[in-house]
Amino acid sequence: MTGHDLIVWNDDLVTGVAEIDEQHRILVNSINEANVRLTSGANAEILDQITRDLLSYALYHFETEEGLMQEFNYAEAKAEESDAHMQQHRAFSSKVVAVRNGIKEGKLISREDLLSFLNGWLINHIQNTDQKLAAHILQKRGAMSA
Amino acid sequence: MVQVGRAGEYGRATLTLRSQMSGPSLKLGQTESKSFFMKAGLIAVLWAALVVASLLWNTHLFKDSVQHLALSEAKSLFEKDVLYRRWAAMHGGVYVPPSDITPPNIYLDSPERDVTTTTGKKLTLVNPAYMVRQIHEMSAAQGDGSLAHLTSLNPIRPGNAADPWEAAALRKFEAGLKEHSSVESIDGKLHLRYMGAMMVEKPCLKCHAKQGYKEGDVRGGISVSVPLAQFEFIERDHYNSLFFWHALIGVLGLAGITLGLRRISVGEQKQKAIELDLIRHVETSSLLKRNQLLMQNSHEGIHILDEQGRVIEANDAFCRHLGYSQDEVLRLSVFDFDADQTPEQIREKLTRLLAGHAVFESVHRRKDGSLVDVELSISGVELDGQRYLFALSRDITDRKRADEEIKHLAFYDSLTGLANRKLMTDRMEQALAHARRSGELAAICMIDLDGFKQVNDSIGHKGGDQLLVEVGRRLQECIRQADTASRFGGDEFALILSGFKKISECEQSLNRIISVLAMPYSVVGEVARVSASIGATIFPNDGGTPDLLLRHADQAMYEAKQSGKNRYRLFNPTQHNQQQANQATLKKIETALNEGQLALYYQPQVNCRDGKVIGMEALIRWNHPVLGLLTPSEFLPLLEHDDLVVKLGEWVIREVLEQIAFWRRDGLDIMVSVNISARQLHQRDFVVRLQALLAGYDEDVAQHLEIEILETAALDDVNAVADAVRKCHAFGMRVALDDFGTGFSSLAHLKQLPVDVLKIDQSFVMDMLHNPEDFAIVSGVVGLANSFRRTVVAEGVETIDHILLLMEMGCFLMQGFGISRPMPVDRVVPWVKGFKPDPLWQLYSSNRPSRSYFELLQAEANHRHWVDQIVGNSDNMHEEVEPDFLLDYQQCRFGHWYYGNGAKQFGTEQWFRSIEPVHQQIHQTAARLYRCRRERDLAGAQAELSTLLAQHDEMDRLLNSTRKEMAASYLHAVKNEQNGGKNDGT
Repeated sequence: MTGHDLIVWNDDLVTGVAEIDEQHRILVNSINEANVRLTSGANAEILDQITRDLLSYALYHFETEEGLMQEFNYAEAKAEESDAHMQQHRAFSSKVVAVRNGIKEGKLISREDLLSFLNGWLINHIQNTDQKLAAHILQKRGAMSA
Repeated sequence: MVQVGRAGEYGRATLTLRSQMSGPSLKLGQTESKSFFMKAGLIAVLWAALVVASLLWNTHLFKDSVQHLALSEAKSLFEKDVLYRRWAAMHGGVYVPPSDITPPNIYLDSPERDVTTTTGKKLTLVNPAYMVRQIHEMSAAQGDGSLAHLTSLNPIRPGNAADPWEAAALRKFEAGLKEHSSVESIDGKLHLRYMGAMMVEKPCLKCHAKQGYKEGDVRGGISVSVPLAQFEFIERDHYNSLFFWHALIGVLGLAGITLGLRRISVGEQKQKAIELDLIRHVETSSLLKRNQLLMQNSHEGIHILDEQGRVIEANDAFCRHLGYSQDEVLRLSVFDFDADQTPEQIREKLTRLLAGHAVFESVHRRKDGSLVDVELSISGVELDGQRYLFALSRDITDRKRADEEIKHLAFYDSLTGLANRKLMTDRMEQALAHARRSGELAAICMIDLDGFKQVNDSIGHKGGDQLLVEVGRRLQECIRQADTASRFGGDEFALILSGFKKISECEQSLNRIISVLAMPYSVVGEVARVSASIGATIFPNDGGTPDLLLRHADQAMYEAKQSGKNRYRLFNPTQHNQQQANQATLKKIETALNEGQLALYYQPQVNCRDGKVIGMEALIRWNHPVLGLLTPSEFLPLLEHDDLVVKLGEWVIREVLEQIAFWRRDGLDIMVSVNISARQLHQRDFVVRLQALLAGYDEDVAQHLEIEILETAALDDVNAVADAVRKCHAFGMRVALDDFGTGFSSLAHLKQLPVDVLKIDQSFVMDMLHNPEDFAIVSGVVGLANSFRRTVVAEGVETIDHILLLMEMGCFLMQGFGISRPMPVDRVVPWVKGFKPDPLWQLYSSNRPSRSYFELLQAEANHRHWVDQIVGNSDNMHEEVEPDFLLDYQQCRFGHWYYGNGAKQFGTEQWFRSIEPVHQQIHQTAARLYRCRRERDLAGAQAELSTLLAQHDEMDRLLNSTRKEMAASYLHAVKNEQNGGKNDGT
């Protein structure tokens, strides 16, 4: 269990947009779950399951976020942020697909590498990119209800 | 004496109360009887009114029907008249011998009125009006009073003039009315008068033309009067019958009402009479005796208390009830036997009851100390300024016990005495609330016995029941006082365990329960064994309603069963959430399929030796409404274990078959391959369904379909897959093993599987220019395919280098970005038409020796791999690698080639010699890099790494440009050769 402690849900992770936070919670739980399961060593079956869950996460979560981006005209308001955000989503999916291809070829990603990737995602994306999007959404929602 | 005196006082008290009551009670009787007669009278009047109304209504209805009868009679007379008249008019009248009854018609103005026959017989002409009048008169003379009268406002014969009623009707006819009827009095008798209009028809004009009549005019009418008297007897009979029945029903109804009400009244009166009688009796007989008798013989316990709660009177039943004698009872006060309340409460209640009445349950303490449940009915009574309490008590022990039993049945399992599901749910609410407050954990567990059914079958139902009772007992022993064990039915039990700080503590408990339940059972003289599978979910890690938690525990229990029984499984909320999310995604993909969001893209396969397009691989794309175009690797893995993947696979085959047929009509002759998932392949009816999909297509279409089976899927069940492959062949299809190389097929497998094509997995192909192992695999697969005489296709071909190297290996069929990316269906035909093979591909097929070119290519790849390894190890120090070893530039693969075949081929060339120093420098830099790393000199290592990469770029540039020059010169030679060949031909 060296190097990667379980993630404790904390305020830095909260974006304030309920639907996004709920899905982030599932991701955090899944990352912790993966962390625990990989402690006893990575095998193809476990990695297959974990990466499959990540693909599923990418599909429903990115749909939620990008749907919100469209709803709140993120691209029009903040073109650069919006582009970068979607770029990160695509990169996440590509990375997961690459990891899965590796598994297929017998080149299993190490627990260390997988957790680095996921924790990196949590820090770069959720604590940074998603917060910007959330701020935009909250501001728009605030304007609507005001 | 005291007792008697008291009784007497009591008797008087009763009398007083009674006589006070009897006054108003009698008065009440009179009022009641008055109201009874009023009520009865009202009902009778209402009834009579109803009957009379019915009679009137029916009579009215019948009168209408009499008039109706008369009207139809009149109409039929009228119609008859019209017919006679029309007949006579049609013949221009009839000749009859003149007589008294029928003299010549003086109003008939005709020269042929009177004629004499050749035999001398005299005849006079009877015109239609005359004839009809004759008939009317005849009918009036002998008839029933019906009269008919032909009339007009302007009659030829004055006797035909209309009476006032007729005149009015005729005027109405001129205004357009066709008939008129009403009831009129004629000679003091009621008649129905009817008159119908007569139209002037052609024959009429014979007599009436001179009056200025025209055809179609309404100039007259026949009036018919029917006396209503002839129908009166019918009416009378009917009325009589109506009256009779109404009278009968009316009278019977009145009788019924009277009887019914009287019975009620008689009952009431009787009761009143009895009461009065009793009072009178009491007044006149010995009050004391009567009261004593009533009181003592009552089955209800009766006792009377004074204001202080002392017993001043009690009957035998009450004494028996408490187990005291009369004397003893009279020395008691309520405080001695009321076991339900504190003295203060009793006192407070006494005060309250003295002014009123109450019925309530309480507990009495008997003489022997035992308690008995009672129902008390207590009233306050005032007598001569003294206040008493009159109490009736009833033993309700049995009822209480029955209540308890019912309650028990409602909340407890009757066999084991454990809580049932209902009580368990209640207790769960409490346990969860407690856990929430205390911050402790609670576990909700579902237990199912393993092998209980077999035990039940072998030792019988009774033994099975005993075993269940014993299981219940053991469970109770394993849990703490505050925990709950319950049985849900059958061999299904549930537990609430609480008060844990850590999950591990809960796991300890579960382990203990598992081992205790697995111990042998001794039932009906035999030893039986069962074990338990337990599923548990931990609150608050898993939140939700008791019902949801039970479901989760049940799910975990099922998992425990699945993974071998005699164990527990904890419900995993994270996994559960994830599964639900996955399910939701699955639903979305299904919707995408149903709504046409999925499309097929086609990636060309080319034979690089002859430069021809040989086929296309169909690949799914998801046109996601939000996320854009998704590749199959992003979503197909989510379906792998669901039947949706089969549905999707079949959709692909349908689409592709349609496409092949379309392309063939369009003149495009190519194979199209589709990917079949492992799940679809292993469906029992895979072949049957495939056949159904092929139905309706020419064999020609099937022959252009290629099925791609994943090597890993094929290895799951080689025999079954081999069978499916043979059946596909029978349909004319081709079968390929996809991603070949990832499944580690053995030669034996390959021999067994009659597939046509091996598709080398793209990962090996992509990496073969960097990784000698991948190179070896690709080369090995190509060799294998060739020796097994299977077609080999390389996937993942990205660059010209890949293509050339593969051709050198003997693999010519290729697919990959280096040739074309997958394209939408409408791009396929233009792409194929515009396809031109890369001229460099001809390098292989030229007669020029190209071996050295490929060797150079491979040497380059080897060198690249060597550098990659050195760079890649920067984080992962290989301390065992000796820097001195790295200095040996002849020992690397590139070095082998350079100083071996390379020197032989290119040793004299300038570019070749210029490579040597760069290569040597790279090795020296690599050695220094390793030394820095070993000494943890990070800055130094970083600097050396930069140098290494720069040197590597330099060498790459040299090799690359050389290879391009070589290729160009080869191509030039090839072109010359071709031109030369052409020249030779001409």
